[in-house]
Amino acid sequence: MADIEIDIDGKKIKTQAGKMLIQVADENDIYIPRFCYHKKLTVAANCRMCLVEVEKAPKTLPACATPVNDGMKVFTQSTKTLESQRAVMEFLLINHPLDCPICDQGGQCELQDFSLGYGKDNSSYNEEKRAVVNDDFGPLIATEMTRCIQCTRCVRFGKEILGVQEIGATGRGEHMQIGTYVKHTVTHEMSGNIIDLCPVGALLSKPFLYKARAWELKAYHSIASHDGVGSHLSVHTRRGEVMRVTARENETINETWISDRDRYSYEGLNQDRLTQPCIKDETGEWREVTWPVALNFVANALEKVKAAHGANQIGALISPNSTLEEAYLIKRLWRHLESSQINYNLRQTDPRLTVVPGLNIPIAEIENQQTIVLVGSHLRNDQPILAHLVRKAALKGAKVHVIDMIKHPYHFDLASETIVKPSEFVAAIREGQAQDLLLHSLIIMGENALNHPDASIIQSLLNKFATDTQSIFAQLPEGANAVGCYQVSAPAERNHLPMKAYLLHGIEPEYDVANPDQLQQNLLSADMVIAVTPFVSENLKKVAKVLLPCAAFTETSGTFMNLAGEQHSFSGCVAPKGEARPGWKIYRVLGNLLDVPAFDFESSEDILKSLDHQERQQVSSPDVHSRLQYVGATGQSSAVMPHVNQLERITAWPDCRSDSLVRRARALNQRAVETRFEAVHIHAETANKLQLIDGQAVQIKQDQAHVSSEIAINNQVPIGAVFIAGGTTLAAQLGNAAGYIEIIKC
Amino acid sequence: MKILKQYIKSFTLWELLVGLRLTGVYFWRRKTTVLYPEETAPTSVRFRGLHALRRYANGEERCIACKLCEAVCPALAITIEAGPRESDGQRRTTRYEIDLFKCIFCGFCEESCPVDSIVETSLMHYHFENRGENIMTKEKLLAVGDRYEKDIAKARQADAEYR
Amino acid sequence: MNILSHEICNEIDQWTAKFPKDKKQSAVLAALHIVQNHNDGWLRRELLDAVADYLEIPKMAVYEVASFYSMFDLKETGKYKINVCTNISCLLRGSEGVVKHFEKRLGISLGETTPDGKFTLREVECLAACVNAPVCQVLCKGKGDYQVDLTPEKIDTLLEGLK
Repeated sequence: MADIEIDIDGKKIKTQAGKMLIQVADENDIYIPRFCYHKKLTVAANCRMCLVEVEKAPKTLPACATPVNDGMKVFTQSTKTLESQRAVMEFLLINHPLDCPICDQGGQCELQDFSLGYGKDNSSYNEEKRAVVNDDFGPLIATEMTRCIQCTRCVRFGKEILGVQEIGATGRGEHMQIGTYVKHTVTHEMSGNIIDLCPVGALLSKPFLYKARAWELKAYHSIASHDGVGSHLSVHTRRGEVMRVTARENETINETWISDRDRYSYEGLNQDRLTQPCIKDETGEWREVTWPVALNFVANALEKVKAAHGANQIGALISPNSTLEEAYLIKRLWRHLESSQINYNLRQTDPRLTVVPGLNIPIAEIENQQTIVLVGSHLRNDQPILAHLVRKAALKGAKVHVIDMIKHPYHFDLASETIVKPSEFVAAIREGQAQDLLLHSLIIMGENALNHPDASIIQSLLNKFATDTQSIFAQLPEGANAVGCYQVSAPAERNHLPMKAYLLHGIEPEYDVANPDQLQQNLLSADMVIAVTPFVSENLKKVAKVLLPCAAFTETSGTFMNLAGEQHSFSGCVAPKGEARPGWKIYRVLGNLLDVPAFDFESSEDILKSLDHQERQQVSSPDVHSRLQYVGATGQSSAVMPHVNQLERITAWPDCRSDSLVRRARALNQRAVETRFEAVHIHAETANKLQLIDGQAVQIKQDQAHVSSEIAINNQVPIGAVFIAGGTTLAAQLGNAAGYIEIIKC
Repeated sequence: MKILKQYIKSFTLWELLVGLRLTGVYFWRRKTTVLYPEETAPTSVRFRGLHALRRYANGEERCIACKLCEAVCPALAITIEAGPRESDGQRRTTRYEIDLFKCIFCGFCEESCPVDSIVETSLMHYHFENRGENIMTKEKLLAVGDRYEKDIAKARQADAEYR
Repeated sequence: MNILSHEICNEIDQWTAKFPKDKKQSAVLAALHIVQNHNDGWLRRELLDAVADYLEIPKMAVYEVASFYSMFDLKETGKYKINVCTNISCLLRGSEGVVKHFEKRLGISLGETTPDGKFTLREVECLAACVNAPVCQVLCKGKGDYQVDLTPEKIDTLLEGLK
């Protein structure tokens, strides 16, 4: 683009032709008011708020839709400009209700601000205002459509960013309305962003509705704790409580968007909190104790188990959402105890697999890929921001190939899609490999593939394939800090047999693991189970011997490493509930009690500094390729042939059930009710064969477990397979996530 | 001579008589004191006494939880929590408290209220006997409003033409 | 899918053929006209959905178009749609009287449909026939004529003819 010079308010500005005036003004800190313009959306120029005077133009021009020209002279403060702005404000306020006192946007409203800054003090309109019948967008988004000024940001966001037109503008002129037309819940996993986009109070957060005012809130910077993207968040608190979470801009990661899971999970923060350390006494009664008593008890118990059964009988199961500091301190503790049993890949069903997490390219680079292969990855569910970037790549012409065990709805065109049963999955990948078309692609091995019983074979197949085609091989497991956990404590030889002592950090044994049934047995037969958790549940009380309350998301400082290997530290936003303490403090004191050397950390920054001196596992791509052994040719499938009546079980964790915090987020779970995550999903043909109908109550049998549930017909599931959502009460009662299921009619 | 004068004055209680003259003057003048508490001094309609939350004639509480009074309060005496009302989802307070120990009776809350809900009545005869009674809860404030609604309405009416 | 008859699909195909393959959306207006004319003169939601599916575009895109243009009816109408112009030229030439006469004869007011489902009376903007004002347009299955220089007598004969 040619360099040109324009003049805004007498300021000479060098810029490039082709840019819009408002863009140039923004880049040079000259503010032009706007409603409909948003830098991430297409230009609509329908609000007319950004009208500015341009020399030689007979009328004021919309800055958002006026390309800059050499020698252009613009006046953003001239009488003509101000008069236009006043007229537009008066026009926009004609139909806008005067209900600011009951509107949640009051205090953070662009219309309010502009009315004060650019508006008139009175209106020449004396007729009746219009009223619009309200719409219902579901449990996440509250609407008050009378307040809408038809900027159409939400409509364009749906069309351009989400790729689904759930919201549209119907009617014309004064009768134009924004809505779903046919009432239905807005279901897209990033739909909550329309709340941030709406310049007025028409679209609001439902869980936050009427709860607080913008001026009461303190904003803290934080990092999203549910997926490996590391979206930047702004956590808003009042009087020591998290009131809402909004997106914070970061051009290289989440742009200006965040997923609904990150936005609404804070709702779980006040549910089932553990506020006091507890110890179970001999009679099985829970007794609240002080921290010194609890930690001394834990230290003694660990040493006792070590003395009696050996250090490798002490295992730690930690959530991949743990901070880098927590994971590191646990690692140090365990090293001191001489145990190597630390596991954070809890949903894995292939014991031979060592996940080497990481995207191996910067996140923003995804959109520049030419070919993307999604292997067993429900990207929209697991890493919504990455799915958005893949969509961006697809819109730019990238070919996206999908090989999976369940058909996921994508909001972009796929070059090919192969959906097979788990038992045919490896074969499908081998076959896909034969097609020699995918040079220089990005191969993403997602959660579903990593949790496949033959994941190690898939991993080495893909790895070899990536090397052969000079492609990038990315493994995307669950958790906000999977990369960090891997870096500080790469999995050693894991013992899957029952152990004598367990540390559960931030996990719920019935929901967060591949085989809840087996783990439950192991925990019940262990001598010592220490649960460090923000939340307490009946099951934790049943299996644990000691409950230590740790700080939840937003309450602790720490660091997450995202899938691109970027390290993002954050501070605590509110004080932990009750006697809860940040995880790193708990392990620090425990370490002191166990006399771990050099363990006197004062802050999480301290820990990070000490960590920087340590040797970390590297995750850069060449290293990964060399470390993984190729077992594709020789690797034996672990699958056993199913019984005639048995169906293959597929398990994936839906976004509202993926960790202990979101499982307690009311609105997210309410929205997901429509997906029937507590039911047994089978293909219509499978149902036909078994003579089952939708909604029918059945008994399902896996190994020893018998559970009653109901049938949901879902043609996304391949024929002959059963989909059961993980993290649900249904899955909690069953065994291995990759087993076989028998459906028995009631 | 001086001694003699003093001698006579002391015998006739002259100073007492001078003093009593003043008493006599005021004794016959128009009285300005009132017999408190049987009688009270007149108060302005703008008197800023104990707070009250008002209702509409149909019994609906006026307060819509806009939180302007909380924001404007210079003594940070007002604490409000709000949410959708369970019965109909309308915006209402779930907690509305004024700490009378903090309140400086400036009347800003009343000025800022867009629906004339929080008002300062002319009540000033109140006391606390126990710790915590200084917190005027929503129920207490509404009760004050219900009880004195007539007086409150009359006072607002009288002041209306100057606003 | 079978809600659109073979005949309708053929007609729509003639339109889609005029546009590039990936720009089927361009045929949405024509398709809606075709579907409306084949289906009692109004568009049920299922029909809109069927058009969207047929053209492989988001349903919302069809709702937007159909609700934008007054030529598409989303509510049930009578067999004949009588559109009376009330814009300036017709107004000056007595369109108010024309509307009144229609209302009297049909026993309905503007925007309504006769109970027998035969006539829908509507007011529309300029029909571009000012030279013969006042005018109205009588539509049946998307086809119809202009009735020009309207007088009460002409309206009577017109309505008789339609009955």
